[in-house]
Amino acid sequence: MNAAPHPAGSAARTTTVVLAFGVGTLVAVGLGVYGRVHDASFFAFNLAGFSSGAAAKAWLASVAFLFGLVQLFSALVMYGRIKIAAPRWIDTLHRWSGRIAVLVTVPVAVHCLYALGFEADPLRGLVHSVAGCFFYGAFVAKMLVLQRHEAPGWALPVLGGAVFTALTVLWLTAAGWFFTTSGIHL
Amino acid sequence: MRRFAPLLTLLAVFVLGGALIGLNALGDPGNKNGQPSPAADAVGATVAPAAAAPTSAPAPAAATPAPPAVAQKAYAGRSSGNEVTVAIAVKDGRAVGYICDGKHVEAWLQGTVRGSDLALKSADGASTILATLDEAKSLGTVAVGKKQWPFAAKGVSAPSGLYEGRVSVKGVLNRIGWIVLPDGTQTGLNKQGAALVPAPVLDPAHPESATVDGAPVTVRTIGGGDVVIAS
Repeated sequence: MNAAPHPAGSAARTTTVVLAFGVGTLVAVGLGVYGRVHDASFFAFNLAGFSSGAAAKAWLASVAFLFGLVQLFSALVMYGRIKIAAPRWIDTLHRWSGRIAVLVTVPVAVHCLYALGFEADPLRGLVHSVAGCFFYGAFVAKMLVLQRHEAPGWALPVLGGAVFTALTVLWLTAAGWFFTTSGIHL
Repeated sequence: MRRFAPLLTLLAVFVLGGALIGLNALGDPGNKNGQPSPAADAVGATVAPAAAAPTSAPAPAAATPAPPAVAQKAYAGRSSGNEVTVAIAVKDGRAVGYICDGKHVEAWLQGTVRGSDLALKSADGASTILATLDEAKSLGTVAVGKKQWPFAAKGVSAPSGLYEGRVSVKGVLNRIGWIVLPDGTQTGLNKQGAALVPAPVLDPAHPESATVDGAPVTVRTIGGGDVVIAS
């Protein structure tokens, strides 16, 4: 975040950004291709206690979204955008809420990918499919940027914002849609 | 540990995702098709003669697979007391079937043709079709759970045959099967989530689409080479 980075640091930053965004892009495209190529099997395990696989997914996604909100809040605190005295455990909170959020999304995404695949029609399906691929791409890029200390200062907030935005779109185009059309129930 | 925390998080996501995909693939009944279990073959050996079988004796439970007697054909018919409607399609030794009573029984089956012997079973193994076939007909036994009936199915051509439509409506998967008999009657059911509901009418003049709850469904004609039990 220096105003005038020296050339070596600048090169390292470029490498980090190219690497992280490159791998993230590959992941996003790869997921999309897999979803498109793999035949929708319409088969998947159902979780006990839910009326349907769709309900289970909607609730899991909602849990992920709640943790996503914790992510947004803790990030804003850490970056000083919310003027409260940041508790010492704020970074731990951010890390672990993020881990839980992303792990909770995995069963949902696997069901989407394995049982349904990439959907180009209707528009809701297309937006959801693209956002799903983008979400994991952005997530991977963010983890890679976190891993490297040479990343430019804007990279984390941008990627974090992208991940959160994608999660919001994903929730709205699936869980939100599910709850508004078939009611809020387990 | 801390140094590699983001990579460990990535790894955890990757491992969990991979494990779930693997579990799905393992549990996926579609990945187990094409190899009828020894049990099913044994049942075939005992049941087939009891059925309204043609003169050709069922082949002994041979270990050597015989080439299929019929390369490609679709059959549709009913059980002897009209309990269920049965459709079968075969292609190059592979076979699929659908059993349906239009009310509360339906099952998709897959299996093989060896010589003139056909053996199909559903994903859960509860429904089976064991029959012999030639170009004109398929005769044998259809079993659903503990019930079994002899059946006769004629070789048919479009628009008679077996059709399938799949669509997701309001987050619920609909999978519809139709059997269209040579006399034009159709029997079908829609598996809507976990429930069975009546199938929409399939227009024999335009069997490529139908409508479920206002949503269009693309309907495909099922041939012997198609996968009907997952993928």
